[in-house]
Amino acid sequence: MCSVHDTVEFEKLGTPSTTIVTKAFIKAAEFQFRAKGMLGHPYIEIPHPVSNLSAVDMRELTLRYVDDVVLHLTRL
Amino acid sequence: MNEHFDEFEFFLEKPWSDGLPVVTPTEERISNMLSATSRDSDEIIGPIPPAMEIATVSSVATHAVMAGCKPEYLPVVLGATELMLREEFNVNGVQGTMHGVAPMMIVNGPYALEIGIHGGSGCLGPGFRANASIGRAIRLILMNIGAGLPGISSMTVFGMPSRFTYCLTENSEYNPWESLSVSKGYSADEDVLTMAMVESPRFCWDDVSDEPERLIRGIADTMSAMGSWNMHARSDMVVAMSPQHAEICYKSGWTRDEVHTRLIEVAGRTVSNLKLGGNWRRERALALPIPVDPDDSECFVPAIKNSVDLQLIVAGGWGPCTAVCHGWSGGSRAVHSSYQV
Repeated sequence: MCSVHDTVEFEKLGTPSTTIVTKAFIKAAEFQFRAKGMLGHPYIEIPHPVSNLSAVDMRELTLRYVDDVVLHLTRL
Repeated sequence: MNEHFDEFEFFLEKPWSDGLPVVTPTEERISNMLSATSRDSDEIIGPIPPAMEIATVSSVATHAVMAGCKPEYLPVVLGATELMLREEFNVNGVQGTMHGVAPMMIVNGPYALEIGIHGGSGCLGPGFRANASIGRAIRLILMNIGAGLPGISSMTVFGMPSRFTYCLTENSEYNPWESLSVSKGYSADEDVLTMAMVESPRFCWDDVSDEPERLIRGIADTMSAMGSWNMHARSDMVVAMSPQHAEICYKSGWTRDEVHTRLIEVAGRTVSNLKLGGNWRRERALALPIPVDPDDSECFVPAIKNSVDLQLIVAGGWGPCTAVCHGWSGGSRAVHSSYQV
């Protein structure tokens, strides 16, 4: 869960950050946020899997969640 | 221990174990373990992912006690802990992945033999304390300091038996060639660790071949399983030839390098074959670090994309068997280093 660690480190530096987590890794992400003292920090849940998506499908998925990313980063 | 307190149950309930009872790390036992190293007990080894808690010489020694190590095993455990934290090994990725590889430790050099790491019959266990407890110490460190906990922070689908322990040396008595570490440029009297993130072995049993080409064909087929990551990414692999299989090649005049090269040349599948099942994807094929034309049905895709990714060793007892251990995705590179005895 390197993305959780990155989020925590960015937040410590005062830079708003969020994490995108596929559904299958929610437990792992929450465990990491708890371990790093940031349980409850908002993240964005997306469907699983993504590793088998074509470039076109990946772009479509990205467009579905890009507003959430902007919202998380500007709200924090 | 009083009647209301069972120390074995205590560690299992925390949970501070791999599911089996651990040796209670009393201060006396930890002190005894630390006597095997001249390093300061507070010396920092590094952060263990994903929790990134700091491993020190003392906490590594504590887990060596818990795993059942003798004090003289500690230098290997310390060396392996340091080595596996190299960025290219990507312990962090493996700790969380759905896949199930484990850090195989191949220990070369005189100290491995001195402390009884086994490379002969049954070397992948069970039955050999050094192999069993050194590998177990690494797993306990990954679970207790790194918090790589299945179903919580580790999303491994199955795990695998080799996640309990995965440590061996080569069969130096019957290896007809130079050792793995010598092949990497170390001297034969250096104590060297090689670690690769690989699956449990798939055996290639061949009691028919009596010459290298046919033998290698069979091993290469085992190396190129359609569902393995090796066919769809640049992945590591360990191939452990039994002395009997190695001898077939040696007696035909083949060097270790020649066997290594030939395995890489032969192990693989054509694009048309890969499209029949497994992890084939056009995007994956195009992302490989070698030229692959996904529209050329006869294009050959090798299981090994870079020769440094194949760790060829000679281990195990006498018998017509080679163990093939596939790698993980494209995210981990095998690492090697001498370690301090």
